[in-house]
Amino acid sequence: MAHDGGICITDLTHTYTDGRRALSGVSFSVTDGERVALVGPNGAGKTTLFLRLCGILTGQRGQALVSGHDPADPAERKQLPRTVGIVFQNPDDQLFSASLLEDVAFGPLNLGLSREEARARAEFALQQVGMPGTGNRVPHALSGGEKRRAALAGVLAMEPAVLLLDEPSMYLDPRGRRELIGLINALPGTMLIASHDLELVLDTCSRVVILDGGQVVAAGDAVTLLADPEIMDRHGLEVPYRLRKR
Amino acid sequence: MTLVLREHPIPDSPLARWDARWKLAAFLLAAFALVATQTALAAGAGWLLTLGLAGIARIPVRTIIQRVLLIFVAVLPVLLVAPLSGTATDAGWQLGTITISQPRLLVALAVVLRAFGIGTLALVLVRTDPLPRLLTAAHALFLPGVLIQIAALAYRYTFLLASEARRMQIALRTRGFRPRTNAHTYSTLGSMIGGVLVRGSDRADAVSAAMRCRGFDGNYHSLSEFQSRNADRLNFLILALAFGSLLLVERFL
Repeated sequence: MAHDGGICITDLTHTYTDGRRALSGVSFSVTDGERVALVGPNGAGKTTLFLRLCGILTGQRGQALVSGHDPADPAERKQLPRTVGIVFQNPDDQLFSASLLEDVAFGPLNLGLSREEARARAEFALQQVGMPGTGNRVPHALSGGEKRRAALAGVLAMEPAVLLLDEPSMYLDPRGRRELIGLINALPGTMLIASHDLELVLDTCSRVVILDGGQVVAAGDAVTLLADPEIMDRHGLEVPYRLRKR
Repeated sequence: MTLVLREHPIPDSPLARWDARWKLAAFLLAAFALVATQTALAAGAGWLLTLGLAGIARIPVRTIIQRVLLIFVAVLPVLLVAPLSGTATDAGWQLGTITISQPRLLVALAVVLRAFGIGTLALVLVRTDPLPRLLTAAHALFLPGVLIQIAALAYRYTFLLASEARRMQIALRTRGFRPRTNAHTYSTLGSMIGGVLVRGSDRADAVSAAMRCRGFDGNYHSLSEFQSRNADRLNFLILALAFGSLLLVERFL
């Protein structure tokens, strides 16, 4: 098993308190530095899997290892923010401070960094996402695309080894989306990207895992898998435009 | 579509350059002094002092009038009811069957002027420093971190909830809804308010998860740093003396 900066999921199951089973026997791994896409229809369990991997939802021990830490172990869970960063679907959930710079520096300050270090990291992260000099702006006055990039900056400032991106291109206009693709490709580290945007998946990930009904139904090379109309159709997906046979 | 409430710029002024901790401490003392005034005259003098501060802070007159009018609407019931609740022996005026008590009218006036003074102080405070800095200053003055966090989150998400409520309002209008005084209107507005509350609750869970993912341990941290200069201490002393003198003059003259 991997896993200095990788993810290893073995027979992971998650049942909500209302009895609904969101994940059932999910197994796959992402090696250190690899970028893998998680695709599937709505309600497939992608967000639940992310919440399990970052320790927000708890479950049985030994079913997942993220950067060498078991998110189900309370002691190891405390170490996760240092190594795992998650960008949620809705950036408004993630931008909770009164100014952008304070928000991006929130994570580094919690990691125990000095104010100077936290400020430097926050300013660099804002620069990375193409928003230099915007630290004094208030989060509620940002556009949808800016919020998305700011949320990503908040995670990048923590310099995580593993990045989980949940629908990263949501709210982005075409230019913002292109910039995001460039940014994702430029970032080092392991990434698991949940997305309906299969064109983005093709541009950023070499491998794809298809999740449907809480189970892994297919996994493999991104181009091969996403070009298969039968598999895609069976699981409520569509072959991306550029892979369609004309 | 982005719908947001307006964020006001902070004009440069001696008050904007004042160390937020000393300013907050001085304003707290001033607010206590205003509350402690007994007469309408002293409360009015206190309000004039706060208006002077608003002038130094270069707050537009129109903004001050708008805020004062808002406060006036809130305290209007006191001004209307208190003068009518005097005793038979009170000096006053007779308007038909209604007796207006002069002492009670003065008490009500004092309440209104105190409210104006405190409201103006609050306006000066929020228009001379960004909120994160004020909150960090309050933390430096030993306000518990959890209260600071609550205030910061309330500030952030008030805008978002207001924005959501406005979006829902627009959605209702585009579907032909016009508020009237009937059951359909009340039911629709009730559903809208309920929707905002439910979304608020869901959002609270999501925000909590996002905070924990970024290592939140319950402690308040901020990038804001403070540096006290002699001028900051002197400003504090001047304001404390001004409002202290107001109380002394009221007591002994």
